[in-house]
Amino acid sequence: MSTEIRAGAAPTTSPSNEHGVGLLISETLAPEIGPTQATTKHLFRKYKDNPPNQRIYGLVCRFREGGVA
Amino acid sequence: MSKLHIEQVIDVIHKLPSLPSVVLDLLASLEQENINTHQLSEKISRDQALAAKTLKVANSSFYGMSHQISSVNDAISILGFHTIRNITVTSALIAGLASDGASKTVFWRHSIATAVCARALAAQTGCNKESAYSAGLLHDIGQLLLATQFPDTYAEVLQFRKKVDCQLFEAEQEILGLDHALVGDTLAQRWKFPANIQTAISNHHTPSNADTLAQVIHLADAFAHALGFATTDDDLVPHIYNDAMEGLGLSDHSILLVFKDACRDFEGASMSLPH
Repeated sequence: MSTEIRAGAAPTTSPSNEHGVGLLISETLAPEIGPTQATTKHLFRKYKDNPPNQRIYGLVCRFREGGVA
Repeated sequence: MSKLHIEQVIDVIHKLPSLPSVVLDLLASLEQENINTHQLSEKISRDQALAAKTLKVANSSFYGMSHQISSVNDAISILGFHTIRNITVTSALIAGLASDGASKTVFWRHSIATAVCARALAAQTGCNKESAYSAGLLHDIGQLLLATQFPDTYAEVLQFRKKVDCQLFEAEQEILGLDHALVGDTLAQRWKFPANIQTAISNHHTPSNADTLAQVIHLADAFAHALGFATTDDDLVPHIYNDAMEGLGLSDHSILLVFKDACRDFEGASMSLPH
């Protein structure tokens, strides 16, 4: 299965994963990922199967993309 | 491998200088409703080094003062008691546990990042914001003590952590047989930190049965790592306990607001760092 994050794009959501980020963390970095998201993914390299870590990863990505009113 | 016994740590702690009494008074004031700010201002003023550092931070460009603040009393009037208390406590603690420049800066960057995340989290959860800030600032104090008082042994811990890519407290338990949460708790007792801050220091990696403040610090620690404040290549977001997430009942929107507030506050709070 291929899941990817592009710079400036919101993380995709999988129906089987409440926050839609479990797979994203474990993917190999795609070349189009910007440095900030690459760093974030690196910081979350462990505990990627832990739902609270997955949730926070998704929110950090959203925050980096300007997703807070 | 060089296991440490808690008695060795206690022995070292007892040889450390006490914190200035004004710092203990400032920490004690966290949970007080009627604070005598004039009396505390006088006490800070009498400690020349602490007063000088406090004024230097208060006069930094971050606070954008149109004129020079020349007394602690004026600093409190203009910037508020809570801000001056945080600046003073941070400055005193940084001075109290000396270590080399680079690792000290990384340590305090993370501590201050956790403090601003904790205060922002407290604002969303109804916890005391200033206690949260101080607990965040102090949560890893045991780590600094181990690194400064047992530098050779602690170098083994850092090597192991890098090699295995584990959390620091796990490396400490493997190499030393104890971890910075236990050491921090012991130091907090010696330095007479408020009881809720001691609990937060002791339980910030294991918040399941702890109180709200410990849960706030557990999450704040994780958020500080997640937002990349530490700026080290091998930094790692720790395992986040679901009990803490559920216990605090945070919505996604609340967490995003915490990120926003923490990033806004970090620069100002970092002015206390040694330059």
